[in-house]
Amino acid sequence: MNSGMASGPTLRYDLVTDFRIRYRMSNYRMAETFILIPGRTSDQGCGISEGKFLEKYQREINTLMVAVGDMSRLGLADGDFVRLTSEEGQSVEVAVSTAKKDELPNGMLFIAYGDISSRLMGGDTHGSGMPTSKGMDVQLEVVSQG
Amino acid sequence: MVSSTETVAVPGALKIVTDATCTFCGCVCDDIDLTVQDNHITEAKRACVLGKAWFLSHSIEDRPSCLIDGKPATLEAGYDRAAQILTNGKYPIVYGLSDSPCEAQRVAVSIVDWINGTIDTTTSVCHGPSGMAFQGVGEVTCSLGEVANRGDLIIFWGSNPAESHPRHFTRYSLMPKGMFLPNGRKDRTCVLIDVRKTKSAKAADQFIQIKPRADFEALWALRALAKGVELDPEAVLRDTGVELSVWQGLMDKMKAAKFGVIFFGMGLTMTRGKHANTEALLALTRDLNAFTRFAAKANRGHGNVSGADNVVSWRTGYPFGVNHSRGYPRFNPGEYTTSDTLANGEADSAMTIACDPMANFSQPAREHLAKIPFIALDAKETPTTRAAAVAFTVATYGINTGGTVYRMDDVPIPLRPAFDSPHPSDFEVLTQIEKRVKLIKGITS
Ligand code: SF4
Repeated sequence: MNSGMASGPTLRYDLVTDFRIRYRMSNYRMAETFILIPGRTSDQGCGISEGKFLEKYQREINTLMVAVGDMSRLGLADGDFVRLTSEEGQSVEVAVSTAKKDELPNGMLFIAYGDISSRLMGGDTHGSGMPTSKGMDVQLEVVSQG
Repeated sequence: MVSSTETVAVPGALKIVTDATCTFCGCVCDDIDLTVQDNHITEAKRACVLGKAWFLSHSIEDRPSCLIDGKPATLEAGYDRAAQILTNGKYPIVYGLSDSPCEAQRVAVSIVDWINGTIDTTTSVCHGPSGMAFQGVGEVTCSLGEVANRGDLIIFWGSNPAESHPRHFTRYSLMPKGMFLPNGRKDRTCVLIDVRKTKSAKAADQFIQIKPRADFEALWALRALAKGVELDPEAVLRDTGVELSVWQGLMDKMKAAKFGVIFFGMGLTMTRGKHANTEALLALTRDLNAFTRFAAKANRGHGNVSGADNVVSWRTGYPFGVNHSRGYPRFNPGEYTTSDTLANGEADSAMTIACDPMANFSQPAREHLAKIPFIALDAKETPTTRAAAVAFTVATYGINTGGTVYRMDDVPIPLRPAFDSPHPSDFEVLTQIEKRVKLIKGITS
C-alpha cells in the first residue's frame, strides 16, 4: 500500500448528521491506494431486467466490497462511507460492506458495474476503444464511521 | 423479419411457448419453456436466475412509444425528428445494438452508411480488445457443442460464469455428458484463473489466484513453458504472484488434455494491457495446438453482441468502431469507438440502440453525450432514455419480437417470441428512420 496525498473531506450535509460529520473529521485519515475491480454480480444482472431505478439494483451498484482484513484495519463497519478518487481525480462516496472471507485479498476492492464504477473510469482508452475499467488504482479515504 | 406471434386472445388463457430463447446473456439458451398468461410470463422453465429475471420481470412498459424532449409524441413525429438529428450532424454516431436482432442491426448499418456516420457496438467496451487481438493473432476456435462433447480441460480466465453466464457450466462446459465424455463432469478438469476468488471457484478443481494486472505476464510465462524455455522461479512469482511450479503443473495438464478450451472474460480485456492480454492468450492457444487440440472462446455478455460483430463485419468489413465519413469504411479502435468519440467531444449527434451509455460510460463521455442531441431506443426506461432528445420505447427482442441472434460461439439462433407488444420493434423504428434519412438525403435507390 502506498500512502497517497490527502485532501480535506467533503461534507455531505444532506446525508449525515452533524454528529457524524464531527466524528468523521476527528477520525480523518490519510488516503491509501487500493486496486478496484468492478464486475458483474447476480443481483446487478437481475436488476438490469427488474429495473435500474429499483432499490435492489441501486443497492447493489452502490455498495463497495472491502476485504475482511482491510475493514478491521481501517476500523470500518458495514454501511460506513468511504471516498474513492480515481487517477484522473474523479471522486465518489460509497457505502462499504465486508467481502466474504477469502473472496478479496487485502488491498483489493470490488464493486458491481454501475454508476459509481463508471464515474471512476477515465475517458482515455489508450488506443483500444476500451477505458481501463478493471484493476484501477483508486485512493480510499474513510469519510464516515459508526 | 418476424415481428411477433399471435397475441393471447382470451383473457386468462394459458399459452405455452416451448424452446423459447433467452437473450439475456451470450449463452442464448434456446430450451426455455415459457408459460404466458395475460401478457405476463409466469414461468420460465430451465432459465437461470438471470434468465428468470429477464422473462418474469418483463411487462409491457406503460410508457408512450415515443417521447420528444421528454414529452409524449407520435411515432411519426419521432421518426422525423430522429432523421433530422442524424442528418444535421457533421459527426453522427450510432452505438449499441448488442440487444437487438441481426435484422435491426443490418438497418442500423445502412443508416450509418447513408449519413456518412460512425457505427460502434457495445463490443468496443467488452470484447473489443479481443476483436483487435483476433485480427493480430487469429483465433483457434470451436463451437459450444464441441466443448460439450469433447472438452476435457476447461479453463476460465478472468471470467466469472457463475454470475455472468449461470448455465454455462451445466449446458456447455462442465456438466454435459458428451459423445467423448460419457461421465460428464467426472471426465473433465476445470481450472479457474482470476485475481479474485469469485463464485465460480466452487465449480473448479483448481483455482489459481494471480496478482492483479499480471495476466500478460502469466500468459507469457505459460507460453515460455509450452516451448520448454527455462524460467527464473523468483521472477515468475514476483511478476505473476504464483509459484512457477503451479504454472508448470497447469502446462502439464494443458499438454495432456485431449481437447482443451480457455474461456476468457473481461478480466483480460478491461484490465491494463487489454488487447495485448488477449493476444497473449490467443497465441498461447495457438502454441498448444503443436501438442494437442486447444481452442479459446470469449465469454460474450449481451444476447446478440456476437451478432453485432457478425453483421457489422459483413456490412463494412470490420466488427466495430467503423467510420464512413469518407464514403468508405475505416476501422480504428481508440478513434472511432464510442468511448473516444464522446470523451474527446467529437460526436455532435448520436443514436443509441439497446444500450445505456449514460449509466455505463466514463464521466467525460457521459458529459459530452448529455450536451448533444441524441435518439435512444430501449425496451425499458434508463438514464440514457431519460436524457435523450427522442426516446423510443421498443418491443423486447425474444419476448415480443422474433428475428435471429448469434450465440457467443457465432451459431445463429432463431427467436420465439411469447406475446405481442403495443410498442414497435427496433427493426420497425430503424426502418422508418432510414426511410426518412434517405428522403432528406435525396436517395431514391
Ligand atoms: S445462462 Fe444466460 S441465456 Fe441461459 S438462461 Fe441464463 S441468462 Fe439466459
